[in-house]
Amino acid sequence: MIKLVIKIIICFILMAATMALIWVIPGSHPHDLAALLNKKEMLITKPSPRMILVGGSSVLSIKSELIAKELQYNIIDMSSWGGMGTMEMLEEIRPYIKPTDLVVITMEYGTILDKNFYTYIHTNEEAKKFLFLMSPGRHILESVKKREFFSLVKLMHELAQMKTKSFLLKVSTFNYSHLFDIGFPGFKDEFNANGDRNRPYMIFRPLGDSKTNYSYPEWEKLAFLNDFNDFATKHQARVLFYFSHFPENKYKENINYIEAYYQLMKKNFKGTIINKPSDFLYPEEYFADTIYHLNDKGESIRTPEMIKMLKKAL
Amino acid sequence: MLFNSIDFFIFLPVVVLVYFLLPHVRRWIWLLASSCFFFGYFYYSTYVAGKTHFYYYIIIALSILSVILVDYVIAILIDKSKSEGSKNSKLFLLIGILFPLVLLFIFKYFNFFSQTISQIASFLRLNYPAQVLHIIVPVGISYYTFHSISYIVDVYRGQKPEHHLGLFSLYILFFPKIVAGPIERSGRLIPQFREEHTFDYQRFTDGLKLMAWGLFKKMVIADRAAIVANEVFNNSHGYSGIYLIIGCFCFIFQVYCDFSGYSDIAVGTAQLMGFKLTDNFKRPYLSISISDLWRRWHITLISWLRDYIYIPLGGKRVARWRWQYNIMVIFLVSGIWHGANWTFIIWASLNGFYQLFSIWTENLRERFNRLIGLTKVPRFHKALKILITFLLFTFAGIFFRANTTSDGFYIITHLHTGFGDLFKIIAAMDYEKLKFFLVIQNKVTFLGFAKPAFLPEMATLALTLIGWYSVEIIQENSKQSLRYLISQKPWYIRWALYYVMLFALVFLGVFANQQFIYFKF
Repeated sequence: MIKLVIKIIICFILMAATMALIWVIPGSHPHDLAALLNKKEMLITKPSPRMILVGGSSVLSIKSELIAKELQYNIIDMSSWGGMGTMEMLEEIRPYIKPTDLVVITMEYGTILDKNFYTYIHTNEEAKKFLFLMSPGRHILESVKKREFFSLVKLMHELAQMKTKSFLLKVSTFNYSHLFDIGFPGFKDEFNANGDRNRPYMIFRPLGDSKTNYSYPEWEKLAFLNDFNDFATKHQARVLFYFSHFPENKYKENINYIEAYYQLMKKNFKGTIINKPSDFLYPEEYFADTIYHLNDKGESIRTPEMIKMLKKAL
Repeated sequence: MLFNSIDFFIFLPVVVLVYFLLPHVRRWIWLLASSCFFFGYFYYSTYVAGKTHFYYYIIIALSILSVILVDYVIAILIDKSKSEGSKNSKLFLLIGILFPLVLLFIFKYFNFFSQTISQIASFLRLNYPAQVLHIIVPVGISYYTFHSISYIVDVYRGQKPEHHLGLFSLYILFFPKIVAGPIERSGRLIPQFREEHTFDYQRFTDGLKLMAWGLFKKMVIADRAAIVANEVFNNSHGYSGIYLIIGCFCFIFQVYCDFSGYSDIAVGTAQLMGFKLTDNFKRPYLSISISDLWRRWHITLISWLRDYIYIPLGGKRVARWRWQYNIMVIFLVSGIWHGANWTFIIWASLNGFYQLFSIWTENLRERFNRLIGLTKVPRFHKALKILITFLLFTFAGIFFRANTTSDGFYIITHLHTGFGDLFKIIAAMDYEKLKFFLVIQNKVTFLGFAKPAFLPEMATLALTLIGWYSVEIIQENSKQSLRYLISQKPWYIRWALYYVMLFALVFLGVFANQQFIYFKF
């Protein structure tokens, strides 16, 4: 019996050591959200003056090269998916904020006006995994403090599994030159040097809509923006906020809630708001696959308008 | 409780530890209590307050209890009436067989039967609205029904009935096999409950290895292939040729690895405590003919059908037409046993037809093989036979998995569609075009996986399938179990192999607690 127990313990140790090894060796995670790691590299390496874009996937439908050229800023588009949570993302970028940085934030309407989606954002496991990858040390400490050992091991195990499968694919396809690439394996193909998409979203109809249940916003859910603004000001950086683009008809349907959101921000937000919600309204033909993503035509119209507003604010 | 759940991995060590700590005379009580807990836990974990009626569970408990009690009493009555020379034994036999069958019919087939009658009535322009019973089908009902029938028939044929109600209950409820077999004969299992088992290190670790191999098949291969198969079969009308073919192959690997994985875990679990259950599979995907495959697939069900239906019908010792009729009956019963759905009946009929067709064409095929010289290259000939058998079984498997018969027919009539210029693109090795060809527009997932995860998952599936298939071939050629072959190697090779197995389970396993396919039967 003792022999058996010893062997079982050896097996546990072997697996724990393997997991540690997988975590230490650089490798990619085959998931769109792993692109955050590549974007984090940009945060570390890109020199000032920098414009850091934060928001959901709506931010990806912009021509960032044009902004960089017109405003002479190095762009770092940290946006990925609305479900990641703006508050969580701002927490992740804090350690990398440098003086003169310009942090441009937007929040898709659903993320703040839909109570269910708001709850989902701050509890969803998928986002947690990739936020964890951004700063594992901090998240491990937080989990240990909260005594969430099981969920910590589960999360680390799931990430290690992803990495293992990615290694396996590369080894089986003899792709050794990219064996130790980090982040999202298709990053160079899908994203440009600013962290923005290389190609506009493809057009699909009918437009995808996450069936938002609009409700009136509460400032408690937005107060983190002021915390971040205070932090940025202290580090000689600036925070700008803008209201995202939206289909005209959807805006009209929910005008009361969106206007209330605007008034709430105008009243409480300490940073600079560069537009009104009605500034970025477009007909459906300018959208790609969902109410959040512009197509190429939409991007070509919105980007110069955005540049104009940014110039005004700067 | 699922074998691939955390709950089971807490339950099992406790059961095994207490089992060995208890004196032999008390062990059956512990095993029976554990089996009841294991069985009840299924319902506890699926109970939704306010949604599921509690009395469903009471009905299920009463039904299984009644099967145990009725068969226990009937077996003793058969034995008694036989020893007294009374003619009542046949009547008791009939009751003993019919009682569990009637329950099986009510729980599993009544709705199907009622709907079929209703459909026929509507076809004949008659008014017969289908009566639907709103009940939960007891887990493993097909299995414990077959256990109880075989027991009654065996007693009728001369086997001594079990007078210990506890041991008989344990025979029906024994947790490693209650849900999805293997279908054990009472004459083989009950005596094992009487034997005293001491802790045997070699036997114990052998059982653990078998469980690990079963878990590998289930969690690494079956559950991964299931993601693709479920996506394709549940949305079959949205897919064409290449995807349907991928889905079919994924399902055929899923069903084998799922069920044989389950069987390995069941046999391994019993082995930990010293019980020997029957192996249910013998590398069926290396069969050289359909009849060979059915000798290697779900062995305990097929041998049950052989002993309790095929042979009483006359087996092969009857006129040729009658023998072929008997074969077809066996397959049809097997199809109906699998589920109350026409898809299973078509699946079984197709397999029966394959069998009959191979009988009809045996001489012709032999002559043809000689003519084209296949008999001169026996290895190639064997490989070809294995491939053809596998493809035929895969084709029939479409109906096994299809949700409805119309889905099944849709799939088989669309397997060849949508290829367009695919072969030209592959020949030209135009990767970009191939990518565009394979991408399904307006879907965020690809064959059930998030798009970026698809290739790594498929590479994992392909590599693990190669690993598993290699093991099957090694075992087939050496006629030895993998565990025995490994035990003959030096320690460092053994540990390297254990490490690979553990690594695959921990880092490549799908930890989604997917149910085993055969649990629904």
